[in-house]
Amino acid sequence: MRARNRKAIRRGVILLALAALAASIPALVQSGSEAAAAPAAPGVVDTETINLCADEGTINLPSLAGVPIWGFSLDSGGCGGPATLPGPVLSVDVGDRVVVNLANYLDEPVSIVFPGQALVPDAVGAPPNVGTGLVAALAATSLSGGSDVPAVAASLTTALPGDSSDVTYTADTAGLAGNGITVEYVDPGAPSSLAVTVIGTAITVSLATDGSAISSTANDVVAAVNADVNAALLVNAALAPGETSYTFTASNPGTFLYEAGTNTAVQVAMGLYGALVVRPLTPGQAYGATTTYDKEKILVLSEIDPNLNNYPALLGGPNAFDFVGDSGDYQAGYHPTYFLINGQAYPDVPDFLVDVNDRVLLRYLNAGLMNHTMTLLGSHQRVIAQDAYLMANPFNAVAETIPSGSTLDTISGLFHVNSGDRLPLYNRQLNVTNDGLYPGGMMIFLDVQ
Amino acid sequence: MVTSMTRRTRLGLLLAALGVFAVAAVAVPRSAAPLPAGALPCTTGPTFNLQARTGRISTPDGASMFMWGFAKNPGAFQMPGPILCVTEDVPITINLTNSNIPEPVSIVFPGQTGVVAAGGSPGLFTQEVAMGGGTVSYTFTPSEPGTYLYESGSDLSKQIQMGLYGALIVRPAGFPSRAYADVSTAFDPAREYLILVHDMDPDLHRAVERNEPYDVTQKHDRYWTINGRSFPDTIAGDGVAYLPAQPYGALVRVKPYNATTNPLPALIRMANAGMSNHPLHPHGNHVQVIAQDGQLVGPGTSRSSEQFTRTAASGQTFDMLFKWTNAENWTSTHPVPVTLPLLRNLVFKDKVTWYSGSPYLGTKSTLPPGTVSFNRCGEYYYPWHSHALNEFQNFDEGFGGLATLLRVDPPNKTALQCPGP
Repeated sequence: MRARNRKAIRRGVILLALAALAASIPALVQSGSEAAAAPAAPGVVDTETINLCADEGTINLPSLAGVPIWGFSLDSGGCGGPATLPGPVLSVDVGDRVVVNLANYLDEPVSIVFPGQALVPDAVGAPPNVGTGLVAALAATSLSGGSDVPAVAASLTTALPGDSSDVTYTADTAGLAGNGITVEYVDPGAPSSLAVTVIGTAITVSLATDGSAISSTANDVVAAVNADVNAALLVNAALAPGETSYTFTASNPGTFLYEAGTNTAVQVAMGLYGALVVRPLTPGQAYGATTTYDKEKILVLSEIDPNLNNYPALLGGPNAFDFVGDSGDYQAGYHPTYFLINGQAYPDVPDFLVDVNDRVLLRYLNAGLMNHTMTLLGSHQRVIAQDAYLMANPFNAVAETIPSGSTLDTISGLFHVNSGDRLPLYNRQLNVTNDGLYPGGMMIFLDVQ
Repeated sequence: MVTSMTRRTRLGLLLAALGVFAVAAVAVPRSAAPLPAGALPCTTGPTFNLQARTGRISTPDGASMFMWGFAKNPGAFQMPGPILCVTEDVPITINLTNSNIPEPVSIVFPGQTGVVAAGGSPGLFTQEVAMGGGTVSYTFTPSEPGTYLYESGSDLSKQIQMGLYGALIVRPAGFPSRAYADVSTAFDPAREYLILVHDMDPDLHRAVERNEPYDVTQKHDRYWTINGRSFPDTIAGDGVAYLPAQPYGALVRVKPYNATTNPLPALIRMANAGMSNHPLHPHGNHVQVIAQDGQLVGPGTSRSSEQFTRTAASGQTFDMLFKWTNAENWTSTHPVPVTLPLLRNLVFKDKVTWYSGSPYLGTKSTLPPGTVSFNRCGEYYYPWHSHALNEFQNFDEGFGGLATLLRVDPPNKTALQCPGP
């Protein structure tokens, strides 16, 4: 049922989303290898506001399409796009005051933690997407004489271009605020069923009662509105997300993770993570003058056990998955079979295009549950920072391990390569298979132009 | 304790350790053609002719494992591949043929730059050679001293696991008895050791032998090796006759440090060709880690450190200097400051031990009746082992697997008085 609702709302939101995206978001969010953002003026504290959604989505893996994930995406008002794995790269300047607003469309609480940033970890998170709360919400409202009451639990999003979004109406002012959407309270004692009536642009939702109390849930309302052909022309109903917000000052440059801080074993394994890059004031440097680079690549490492992601909803979904593996279920135990770089497995991982003599900054982030050891053939990797701390003694590594939850920055001077070389960068623990088949997994090529 | 041990895995455990954790092993092998004690059995270039071929290794519990490996050409199958010792800045060529492995093979050289591959056919990482498909040549100039791996660059998750790996040692130009050009890395050339570790799931090897499918993501290791051998075979000498395909021992053998007569440390070169990370624990001792992945970290920089457990990640190498210092100088006139246990209270697992019966270096003493000791001249033994203790066994039978011994010889005994493996 939820999947249907989410599909419906996206159709309506895309038009609204485009304008907002174009206006503000791209400055904050970059793909992995774009050039550094312009720095803020020294001494000026910028506030960067980032709106994220936590939601369901799917990704395609080699020979395995449509794997369900939970992920972060940009929120441009009603959750702008499908959830991605990993979440968007958040790029800010050192010294920025960073505000991250989270809208949670998942069925369970979700928080974000920012390892390496100075803020108290949030173990509570944004409440779940309101699914069954309408009755409670109505009951908590002061009812006066059987009159209509606010539909506080149901957020209704218009499909009409240019109109307002996320509108909630009270029955008393129905029709005056633009969309004419009413949630009408039906007095207990008069048994009735849930009904949606459309007259012009006014939609009236009559809640069901069982004769003594309301029996409609917010889920029911959303489903009924979306199921009504006439109503669906006017609105897309959606459940209101749970919301929370985080504020911190990005004091130090470096490569950081952000990830779920609630129900972490499941939520992180399902994909709720991403990269936060804090840039120093001088473009083209990772930290300071000793870390100058020409090109950078963000490499978010993780892994997927499809048995977790595909665990049947009827059996309780991913939360019912047996991580430890002592249940006797043939799928039991967390055994990843896909190993990902930026959410993709080889051969889907696009080559990273570089030039001879480039100084290439590789920002590794291990968002997975396993440690990963990475090897680059044909060039040295100079380890310059770990967990966003600049090393006093940078060193060259052949095979360096990025522990789970850690980040590592290396710079490779491509001075001993030739145009046409393809340098393999791969997991030396030989997680280079897709469901056991080589080649695949955590492998990418630096393609020397 | 495990009760169902085969004879060769039986080990004696001295329960009254007195600071010397004594582990005993049985079946001291007779060396057929022993190499000089401690000298690394190098294969030198600058041109190396190698072949990839199938073969078998034996494990201490009496099993054998089907392997793919690099061998000299011409030459018999061996595990691991030959220890290639070369000199910095001297160009080298490795010619590879594929004798009987039913898929294309290749070699990559992690940590090297400018490798030019010629011949064969193009593969994902480099030029490959199919069975009977001629020769592929890899040419490069190793520009930095250190310890490196060479390994398959084809079908990695199968071929490296099947055994297509070896060690490449690059010596600094002009300083063959230093690990690096830096004078602080000088070592005793007779005390240079390789600890090249690997992990094996027999199901993988059986599946490859039978041409059956195997899902490497389900790999469940049962055997762990140093230089292609599992403990206690690791402490046998180089080239022993009963391990014809596993020519390299791993017994680390030193004499106490002495500023005049024994000033130089041993050099331990550790490399991990396996899929898992392995922590090596020099029991009761510290090693000084001087380099990682062929990059000097000290002395002289703050990253050099003494460690009593060093984890090598997959594909990673470490160089370690080791000196054993007789700090307390215990003798019968300067006795150990604890009460020695009574003979009748000592229990030796399986009634065998390497313990001398005495806590004093160079002294042999009484052991309980019926106990067999393999101690030669009152030397000390310490286990060096994987502290991931599940790896300290051979298919669930301990002790075994990723382990070897440190043997400390008495300073005042001759080689004749104190024979080695």
